[in-house]
Amino acid sequence: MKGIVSGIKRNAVHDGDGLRTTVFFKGCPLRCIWCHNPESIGFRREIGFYADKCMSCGTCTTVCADGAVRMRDDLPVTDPTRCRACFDCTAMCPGDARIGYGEVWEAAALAEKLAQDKAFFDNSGGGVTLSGGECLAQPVFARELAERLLEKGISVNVDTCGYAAKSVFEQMLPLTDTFLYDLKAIDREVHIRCTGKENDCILENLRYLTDSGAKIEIRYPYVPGWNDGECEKIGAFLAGLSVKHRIKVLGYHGLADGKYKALGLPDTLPAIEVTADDVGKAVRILHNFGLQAVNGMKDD
Amino acid sequence: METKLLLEHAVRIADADTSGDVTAADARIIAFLLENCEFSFPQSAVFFGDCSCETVTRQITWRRQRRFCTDIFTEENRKAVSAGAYSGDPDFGHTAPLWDDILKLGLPGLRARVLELAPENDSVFVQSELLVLDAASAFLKRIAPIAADAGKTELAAGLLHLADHAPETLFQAMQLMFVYYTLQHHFEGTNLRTLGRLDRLFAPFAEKEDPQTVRNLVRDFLREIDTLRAPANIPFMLCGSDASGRDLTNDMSRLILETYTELKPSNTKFHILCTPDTPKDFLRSAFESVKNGANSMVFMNDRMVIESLRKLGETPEAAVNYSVVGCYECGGAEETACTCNARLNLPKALELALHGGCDALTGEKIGADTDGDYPTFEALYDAFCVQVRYLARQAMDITDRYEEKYALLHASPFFTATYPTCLKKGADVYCGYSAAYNNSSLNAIGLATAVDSLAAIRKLVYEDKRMTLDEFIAVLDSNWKDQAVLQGIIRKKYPRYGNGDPAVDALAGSVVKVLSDAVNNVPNAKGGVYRLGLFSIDWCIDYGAQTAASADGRSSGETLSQNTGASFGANRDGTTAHLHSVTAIDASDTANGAIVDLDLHSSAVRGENGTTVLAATLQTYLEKGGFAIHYNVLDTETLEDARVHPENYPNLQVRLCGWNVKFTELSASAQEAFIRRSRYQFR
Repeated sequence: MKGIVSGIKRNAVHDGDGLRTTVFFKGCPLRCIWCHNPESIGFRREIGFYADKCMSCGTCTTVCADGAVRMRDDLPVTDPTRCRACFDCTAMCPGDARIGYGEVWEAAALAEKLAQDKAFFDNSGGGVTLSGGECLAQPVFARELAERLLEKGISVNVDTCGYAAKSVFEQMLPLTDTFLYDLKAIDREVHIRCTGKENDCILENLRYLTDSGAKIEIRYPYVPGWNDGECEKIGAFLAGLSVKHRIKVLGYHGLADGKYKALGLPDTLPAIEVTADDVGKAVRILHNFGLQAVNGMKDD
Repeated sequence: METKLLLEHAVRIADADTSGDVTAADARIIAFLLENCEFSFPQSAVFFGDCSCETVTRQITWRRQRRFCTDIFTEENRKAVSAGAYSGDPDFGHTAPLWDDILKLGLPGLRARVLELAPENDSVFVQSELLVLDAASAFLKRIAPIAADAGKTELAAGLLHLADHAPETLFQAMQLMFVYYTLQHHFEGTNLRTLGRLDRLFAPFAEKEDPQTVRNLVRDFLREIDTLRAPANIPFMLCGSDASGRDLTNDMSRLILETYTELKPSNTKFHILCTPDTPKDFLRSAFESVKNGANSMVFMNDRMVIESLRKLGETPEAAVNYSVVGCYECGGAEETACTCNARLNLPKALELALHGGCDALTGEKIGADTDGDYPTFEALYDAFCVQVRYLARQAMDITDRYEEKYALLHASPFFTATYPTCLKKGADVYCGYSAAYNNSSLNAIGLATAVDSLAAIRKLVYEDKRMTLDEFIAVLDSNWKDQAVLQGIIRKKYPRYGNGDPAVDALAGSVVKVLSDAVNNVPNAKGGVYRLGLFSIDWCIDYGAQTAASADGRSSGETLSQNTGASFGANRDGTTAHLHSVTAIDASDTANGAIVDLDLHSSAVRGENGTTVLAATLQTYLEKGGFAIHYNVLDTETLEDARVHPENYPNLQVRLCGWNVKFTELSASAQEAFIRRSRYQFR
């Protein structure tokens, strides 16, 4: 089974226990306005262009077999109707100004590559984290990859927004070591405003996983002006579950603005700065619900 | 007597000697210095003080070198050395005395052992040994009252005790280490490079004392060795294993680590000799310390060090009791490892292969005859190997010609007195090549630069056929003129060492094998053999400045790759991939040291899990057969701030090449380069 991946990050220290490799699946059903991986939103291969790195050499125009790239004012312009995202130009870009997002992998081959670091995983209690985008938006690929990793004795974590069919979670449950589960808002309208989608299935799936005994860490991206008002409701919701999960509050950062520009996407990032103290306030509120809350900007 | 007068007198003694062997002359000089040097005890001194003769014997050796070593370099050597292809030096340092014997026997015991083991008691050698050892005892008696006058009664009493006895207390044992360090380093001018395995040395003395006294003494000891004037720090070792393979980590190892972490001394570095059984909690503590900015620990792979020394023909006992006698180089017990003799510039060997044996910058013929017509990559690679072997032989020839003169250059009676083998042979360790192993070394510099260059030519010319070899050589000769695109593509997109790419890593493995065959176990001029090392210290900068543009995308004059690490910026896939590449080298062929430096941003190793990951990285690297590894945990903002406000960071250490420096003492340009590097790597 083939799947599409926007990036692979080795030596991840903050995506679960031990040393991990995080696989970013490409494509996500949500449209979070604060998304810091915009290259993982779309399900198709695409090319990011970082104009500040461009050497204006024109190599991309000559290697493109489809004539999709032309120079205008010393910078390459891509004709989206002609570009097939074959990545011939990104492979030859001497300034790393053109980056291809969306490598297509066979699950078996990807598992093989990930297993190169097995000794590091074993010695640290780490493994592979499936993330994204939304890894469960490619459920068959995710499942096969997880199975193949498990066959090799490699632990699998699933980093998910929760927006998937319950059957997908049923399938992943026995294959997953820890779910890193995003919770962005409890209020349905707030959730729609922040992510473009309702949250019924997200809350439902979290209840299901909890009651099934899954190991879960909740992640709450804290974006003042958008979902900071949800903190109490999140606390109350989690306190009402059959198991009180650990929750990590992640401070929003706007460092991804360059990627939006490179991908030609409208920049939806809120123009705010969040400090560790801001996050600390949310952490204190969550503590009041008897939850083990962690400030993601300070501790792990 | 002040230093200048001491030197004048020492020169007269040296010049009066016509024996053709400097053993007797040097003993007389040392005895004279011990009798006449000025000595003072700084206010902070707990164990020992400062003498005024620090450089006298070293200057004597340099004078002799200038006088006797006039025919070391051939005409071709001279051209090659100034082109930065290779060189060779004598090395009267990078040694380890048998500290266990020193502490067990003391000065009088060492003296008695000379008489017991030496074949003839009236020989020049024995008389010289007795002269200096007696002078050392008399010296301690001379300076004890100076200490007493300075109000340091315990210190004075200890000196008097050590003049006539072996140490009995931990205080005296520590004091004798200072004494014997100074006797070697300042009086005989041997660049001693380790204080030994402190945990093993101190443990038997500490057993007899109450724990609080031991804690205080260890603290004082670490504080005071930080003040020793030693080039590139004076290291010590912890842990290791014994002949049965048992891990030797003990309570003293823990106490020293704990105290070190608390003190954060700025001029001290140490080696942790890691076995498969080094306690996990000990290593975690070490990494907690590393995370707090203690960038001066080097983790050595005990198993690989021992194996590398065994491959040089050392006995299991000598190999297991090795010392790290420099930044990362290891020598067995009773070995003079001489780890900084010969060196060669690996990328230069490729440059020569591409230019018919001529240097691309100077145009001089300095290499072997290789014709330059290479129809296949294999043919080119063979020519590269021919040049490597040629440069190695030249560098070793230079070293041999120096080492043939050792009897005329330098004697080390204090160092010699600690090696029973030397005593049994009745000869000085240097003048008479009398150690159990009288070895020499060659370090190859720029491994990753050479490997990446070979890999780039293989792909560009022989696989992708984008241009002919001659066309590509023309590009290199022009220093990438009008070829920024090609240069960028090669730098950014081509397979490079440091990413766990099996094809490139295999190339690195085979280059090291070629080096090993050319160097390891090759006989030297002293009855010993050569040892291969792959550490670069700052030679990678000097050699880089003399090396033309290389096929890996490097511009002419840019620095070469450091140690066994990836070229700067070439490691695109993080630490694990980097270590896959580094461990493709057979470290059992690198007794003279192979090290990778990992610069990690503090955010990357934050928290409990960060420590777990560091420890696991080390464990995996050791299991995969790495030789030595060093971690810099840095915070870019901290460095930026330290550059602007040096007064706030008096102790911020970074490790540069092989030794630690205070960041604030780096030049503005070096600071900037370091910050740039950290920014680049921590994106």
